[in-house]
Amino acid sequence: MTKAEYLSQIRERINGISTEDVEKNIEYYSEMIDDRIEEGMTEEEAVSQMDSPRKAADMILAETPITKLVEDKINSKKQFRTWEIVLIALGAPLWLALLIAAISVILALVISVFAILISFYAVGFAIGVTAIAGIAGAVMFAVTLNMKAAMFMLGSGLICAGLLILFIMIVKPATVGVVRLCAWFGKIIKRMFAGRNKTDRE
Amino acid sequence: MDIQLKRGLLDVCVLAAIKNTDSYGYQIIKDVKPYLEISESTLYPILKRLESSMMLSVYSVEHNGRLRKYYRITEAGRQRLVEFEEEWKEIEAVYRFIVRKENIDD
Repeated sequence: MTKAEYLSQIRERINGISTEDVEKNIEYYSEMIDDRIEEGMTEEEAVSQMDSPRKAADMILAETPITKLVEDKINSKKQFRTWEIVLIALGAPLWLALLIAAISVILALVISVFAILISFYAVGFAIGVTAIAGIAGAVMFAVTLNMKAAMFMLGSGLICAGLLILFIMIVKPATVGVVRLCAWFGKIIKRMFAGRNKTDRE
Repeated sequence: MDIQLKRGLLDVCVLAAIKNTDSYGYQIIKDVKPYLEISESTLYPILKRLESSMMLSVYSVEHNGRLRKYYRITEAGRQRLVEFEEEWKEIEAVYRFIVRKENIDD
């Protein structure tokens, strides 16, 4: 791709951050390409040696805390004309309700994911307790020579112990998976805030 | 290299690249690359960080009809390099501990 294409693709993806930061970043990458061209590479070669626009944009966004992204987005809005302000105020019951609904849905999703993880741990804990109870009960029954009951308790206890081992094997990858999911989610949100914006284009 | 190890070294590496003479982005990457994998996207935040902690200063020079940014190390930056040399002795000791062979005293 050409230098212009490369830079514009990065620009699109970091559109949400402050104009000052956008320009500084684009200047930086532009300089990098120019320096390579000076060494004798063609535009295409120079661009191909660098990180993809997506990776470059993600690194830039990663350095920008999400609060700054939101702040910059709000600040970048041009001056509103009077009729726009009136319209926004009038429409508030609608868009405000929709906004609250949207945020609630997202929160609900996040909470559900963690609830699932917590229930998972709770189940594991319960299995563990049952295993211990089973073996303890087996010992108690054995002591009072009620062998049938002892056998039953021992059997159940061992089954639970087995389940516990299975559970322990699953819990680590599951937790790592959830944490990665949250990180990916955060990345997507940052991209959403900073990404291509049809309405903001001058 | 392990990414945690690399992260600790990159900042100092960039400072080292400009310790004897001022340099510019692409040149810094070329200087550091034989030792540590570094790309423009990783370099930029490092430069920003070093600038805000005042270990380097930035200035622009006209070059072939465009502006090129040059980076110059500051006193604080040199201080950081000196500290690193001190830290190196500790790192060496840790290294020797890690690679030690089986010992009767162990």
